[in-house]
Formats: sequence, structure tokens, C-alpha cells
Amino acid sequence: AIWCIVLSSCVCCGWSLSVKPEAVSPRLLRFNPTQSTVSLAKPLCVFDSVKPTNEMMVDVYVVHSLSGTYSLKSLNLSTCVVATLTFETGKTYKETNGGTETPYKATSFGIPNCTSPPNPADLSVPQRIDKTLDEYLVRIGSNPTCVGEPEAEAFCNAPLSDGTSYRFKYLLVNGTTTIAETEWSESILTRKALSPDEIDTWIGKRSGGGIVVTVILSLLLFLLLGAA
Amino acid sequence: MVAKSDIGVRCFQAFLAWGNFVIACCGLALMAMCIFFIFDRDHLYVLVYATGNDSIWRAAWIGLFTGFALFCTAVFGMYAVLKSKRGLLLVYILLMIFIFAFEVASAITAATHKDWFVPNLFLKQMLENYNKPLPQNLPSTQDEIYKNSGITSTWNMIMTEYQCCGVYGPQDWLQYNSQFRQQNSDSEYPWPRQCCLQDGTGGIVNVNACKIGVEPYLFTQGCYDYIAGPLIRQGLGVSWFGFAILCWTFFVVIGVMFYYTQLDS
Repeated sequence: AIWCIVLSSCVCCGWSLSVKPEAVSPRLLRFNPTQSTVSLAKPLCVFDSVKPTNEMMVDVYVVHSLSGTYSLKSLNLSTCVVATLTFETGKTYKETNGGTETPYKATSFGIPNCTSPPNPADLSVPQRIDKTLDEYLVRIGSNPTCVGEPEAEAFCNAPLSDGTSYRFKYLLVNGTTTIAETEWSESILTRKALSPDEIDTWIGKRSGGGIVVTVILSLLLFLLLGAA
Repeated sequence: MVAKSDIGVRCFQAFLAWGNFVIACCGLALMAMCIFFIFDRDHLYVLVYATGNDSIWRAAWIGLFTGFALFCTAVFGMYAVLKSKRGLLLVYILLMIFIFAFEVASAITAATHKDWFVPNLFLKQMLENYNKPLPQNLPSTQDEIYKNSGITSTWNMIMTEYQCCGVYGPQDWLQYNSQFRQQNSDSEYPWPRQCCLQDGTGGIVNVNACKIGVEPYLFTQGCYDYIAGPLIRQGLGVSWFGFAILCWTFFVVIGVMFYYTQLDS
């Protein structure tokens, strides 16, 4: 968004950054995504061009890939003209039927610290691993209990459906005002839970040793009985 | 009798007696080996029993009794050869053929049934039985109780002791639906807690890191080698050692038959 640095009147606009949220690298997490969770890498140094302050938060929005691509519907239209916006912020998991209708807000976290990014080497230090994991990634689908709770939650990081593809988006917010957004991520597919009945337990090839033993021993037995 | 043929007869007798001595020792060894397998130090019997393919254990039991029988009959054979009485030798030959047939059955059973232990067999059984609860309303048979609790506790023991997870790895729990999955949500328990790195006292080092799947805190190795290894060795032991003993026994019994036909009554 180089053109907006030149035109100062764009400070209030919703910044649309051309980065996409990504799942954590398979080199770090071999079993990501699972049947109902996806671990995304937090947006490190992504929102720096917008000069975020400490009270700003990053919201994560989740939608089914097949529901179409959604654009942001900003609540603050006072000074900016923003193009085609079709989803409202602040919808919960229940309201959007798990993200099948429109995107819902799964979770929210503070701005990641760009000046001291998490060190992957800290993962082998037991005292620092919780902090490092928290700084490095956000786990979507980690709260299985809030789904059934009757009171309307502000947001519920409910488990995702298995074998379904989802898209994710980060929104930089200050209270209810959207400051900036990333693009929708690539389609990420959760694992499908197959039935164990489909497992084929056929032994394949017989081992040669078994056949040798069977043939030779049968032969010896018949010879012995014949000689007797 | 001429002195030379007398020496020849004596040599032959000594050879047959020595042959029987070897059979006696081998019979004892076979018995000891089968006792070791039946003892099931790795507690794998319930896993094999639940698959319905526990013929390897039956082969080991037959091996145990034939080993002992071989020992007794071979000692009797040594006595019969040295006494050179036709009646005793006939009894010996008939007993030996009888035991031979049983040992053939044991060796062939062990050799063919160890082929059944493919990873998918244990995978399917683990997914269908690990953590399976007993039915609430209907009474369970002793067999069901034995299978359900045995499989769950055996898998817990294997995963904790050998620091492994599942048959191929933790992905087993992610790729398939399972009894474990019915009882535990994927968010909270993507895989059993036994797959998590534990400290000396048995507590989990970091549950969160294990849930997320960070490598040293989650065991990523599969347990198949630790299950199949002892079972295949058992199959190999019973089948090939039995085979070797039977080859030797065959020639000794043929020799005794020949000696029997040469004896004047």
C-alpha cells in the first residue's frame, strides 16, 4: 500500500494488506491440521506499516471455503469510501452456523511483538515453551466446551468440522473499528475421519520361509509314515 | 558274529544312542523356549487374542508338550537301543512318529500364522477397541471385559514404555474415527495423553505442547516394531527350531527303524 503513504488522508481507511494467514510450517508441526483444529502462524510484523498501538487486537475470522469469498463490511464509513463489503464483523460461531453462512470471529489476541520475535530454539526449553508457542501460533478450534454453552458468547473458538476446507483472515481492530485486514488465506483442509472398517488387513505376500517349512515337514512326515 | 561287523553294530548303536541324546537336549530346549514365549513378558497376548489369530500361542503350547515328550522318548530310545530289544524299539518308533506328527503341526502353524501380523491388523483393532467403554445396560461377558480393558491397558503400557504413539504414528488418531475419538474430542485430545513426553514421575512435561504437536513433547514414532518384533521372533523360534529338530529326528528314527529290521528277534 505504497500509494497510501503518500496520501495522508488514507490513514483512516481499512488497510487491505496483501499477506495471507498461513498454517504453521510442517517442519515445526508435523500433524497440523488435525480433524478439528488448525494452528496458524501469528502475523509477525505484518501490521507494522499501519503503526499499531498496544491496545489494538488481532481478530481471527473463519469461513468455509465453499461459502464464497467475502469482503469486509466496515462499521465506520465516515471518511472513507470502501469497495464491495459483504460480511459483518463480530458474528459468533453459533450465529453463522459454524462459518457456513458468513465468516465468524473465532478468537482474538494482542499484537505480536515485532521487535523481539519468538525464537524457535526456545521450544526445547521447558520453561519457555508455553510463552514461545503462544507468541508464535494461534490454534483455531481449541475450545470444545463453549459450543454448548447457552449464553451468547462474544466469540467461541469452537472445533472445526473434519474433512472441510476453511479460510482464515486477520483483522487489526481497535475496539470495534477495523484498522487493517489481511487477505483470506488459502483453503486449508482439516483431516477427514475415515471409518476403521475401511482398513484392509490382508497379509499380502506369504513369507517364503513358511512355505518351505510346510512343504519339507509334510514330506518328512509322509516318508516316515511310509517307512513304518 | 565276526569281530568287524560286531564293531560296526556297536558303532551304529552308539551313533543311534548319541542321536537320541541330541534329541533329548533339543526337546528340553524347545520346551524351555516355548515356556518363555507363553510367559508373554511383553503382555502382547491380549492384542493377538482380540484379533482372533492367536494360533501362534497354540503352536507354542504344542511345542512345549512335544518338547517334553521328545525328551522322555529320546531317553527311552537310548535305553532301547542299548538293550537292543525288538519290543522296546517298536514302542519307541511308534511314539516317535506320533510326537513327530504333532511337532510338524506346531511348526507349520507357527510358520504360517506369523504372516498375519501386518500393521493394519493392529491398527484396526486399536481403533476399534482402545478406550472402548463397556456397555452401560447389558452385562458384559468376561471375554469382553478381558478384551476391552486388556487392549487399553496394554496399549497404554506400550506407548509409555517404548515412547511411541499408535501403530504408524500419531496420524493414526487423525486419519480415522475410533472409539477413542468417540470418547474424547479432537480439540482436547488429538491423541492419547500416553503419547506425550513424560518426566520421571509419570507426569506429562507439557500438555499444551503435546496437544499442539511439537516434536519432543509428542512421540512421533509408531509402535508397530515393538509389537510385531517379539511376535515374529516367537513365530520364527517355534517354527524354525521345530523344523531343525524334526529334520534331525527324522534321520535318527529312520536309523532306528533300519536297526530294528536288522535285529534277529
